[in-house]
Amino acid sequence: MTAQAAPAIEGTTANVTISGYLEYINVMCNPVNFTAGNGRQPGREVEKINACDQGYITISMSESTNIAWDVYINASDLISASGYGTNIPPSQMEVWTVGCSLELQPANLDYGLTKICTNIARDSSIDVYFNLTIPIGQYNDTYDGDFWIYVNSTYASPGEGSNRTWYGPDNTTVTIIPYVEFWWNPATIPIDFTALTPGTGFGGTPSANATKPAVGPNGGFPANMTNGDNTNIYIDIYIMGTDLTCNGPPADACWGPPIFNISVGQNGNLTYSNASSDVTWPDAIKFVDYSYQAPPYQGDFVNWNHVPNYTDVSSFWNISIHPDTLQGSYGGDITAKAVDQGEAP
Amino acid sequence: MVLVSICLVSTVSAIGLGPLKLDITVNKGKETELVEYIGVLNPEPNPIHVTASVTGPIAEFITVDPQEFDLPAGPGIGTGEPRPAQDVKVIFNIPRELPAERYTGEIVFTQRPVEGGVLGTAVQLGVKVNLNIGEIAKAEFPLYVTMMTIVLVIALIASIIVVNVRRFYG
Repeated sequence: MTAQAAPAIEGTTANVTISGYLEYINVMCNPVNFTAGNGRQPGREVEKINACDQGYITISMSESTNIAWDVYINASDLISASGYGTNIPPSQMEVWTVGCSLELQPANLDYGLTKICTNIARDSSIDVYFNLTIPIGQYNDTYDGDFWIYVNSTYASPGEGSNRTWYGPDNTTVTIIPYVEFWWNPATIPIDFTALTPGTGFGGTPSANATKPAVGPNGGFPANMTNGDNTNIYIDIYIMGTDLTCNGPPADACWGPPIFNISVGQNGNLTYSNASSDVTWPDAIKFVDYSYQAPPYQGDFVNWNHVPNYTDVSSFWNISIHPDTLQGSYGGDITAKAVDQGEAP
Repeated sequence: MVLVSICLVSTVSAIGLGPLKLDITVNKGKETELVEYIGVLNPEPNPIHVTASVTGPIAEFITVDPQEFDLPAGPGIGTGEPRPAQDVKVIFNIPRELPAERYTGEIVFTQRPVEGGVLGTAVQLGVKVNLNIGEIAKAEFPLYVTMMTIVLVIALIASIIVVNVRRFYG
């Protein structure tokens, strides 16, 4: 009997390689809309507000992604819908992340890619926050721009799935509203009439001019009102005031009842001018009144109307003191008001 | 010699504001509460104190919150830097019995220097408010729809009468 040979067992090894793969980018809480209510003011730092009522978008990768990933972002200009506004560059937008294992510093966006987070676990997500600094004096309009998200990975295999791009057309947006910034800067020239004698400005004597050289500590300069650099419309300027009442210490003759006032109003003791310099004073004069709307509108000078932004208008101030005015220190209020051109004050 | 002393303090007044107009339209006969926001900004490099008040017939329906507030120092003019801001909430409470009409007024914001002097200066900006109470829209149908409805109603009444007459005599 011969021994039978054992049957030979033949086998093979099953090998499989799973490539590092990035599937699709998911973006939630989009678009990046900076508009709250009617719109935003220029010269203001604002956060993304719409979509999920949050300041961020959430980025994740779909479930077939099997490697850690890095994320980048870039953006276009925000472009004026009417074409009248200048474009807002992406550098006005700042982004930062939450949920990123290696937190990077907040970065300003650019036309090119900016890396905002690295080595995110394949099934994790990150929140990307957006802030926009609206440029000073930006024209009132709606502005739209695009942004892109780019994801890649050092673990990705070459070929499809090694990187992904997500594109959000018109996904950055902000509406800017008409805005006025108005200054009255008496620091440049305190209107200081100093000490006057009763009767100044009466009986042929010249009235006291606070803005003439050698009268008051800062005489010789106008009191400027300024339509600020951040204003994005033209303005008209108006003035009103109160009577000057006795401020003085009890030792002053005007102190205590009855209080004696220096009346502005129709008596016209306090006047102002739109003169361009003290040399041309008085090329136009108005009496201070209690209301902007006392006809004609107070402050209704030609060169105080349709004032563009970043522009000063000057004012020069005079006062007359009735001969029987009691000795003392007097004070009151003067209020300047700016309105949208053509509007009533 | 009797002297009278008058001076104006050497402090800056400044304020920024937008929007400058609020136009609200609501239907008559419906109690409505609406909220709008006004942004107040401080451009000047000192803290400012701002007060808000409402003038005109609109005052009855508007609440402003806050009515008075402080803003920290801003960057100054010509710096290009953003300004600190306060969003002021404007709440419109419009009662249902209000007749259809246009109500106007102004929300006025005034900034006086925090440290006053003998003669104070102030700057003022305002938001014009127009509240239009409109009639409720009435549905209007074309004439042929109205005529068809009348014919259908007449036919329905006639058929009811016929059915009842038959029952009575049947």
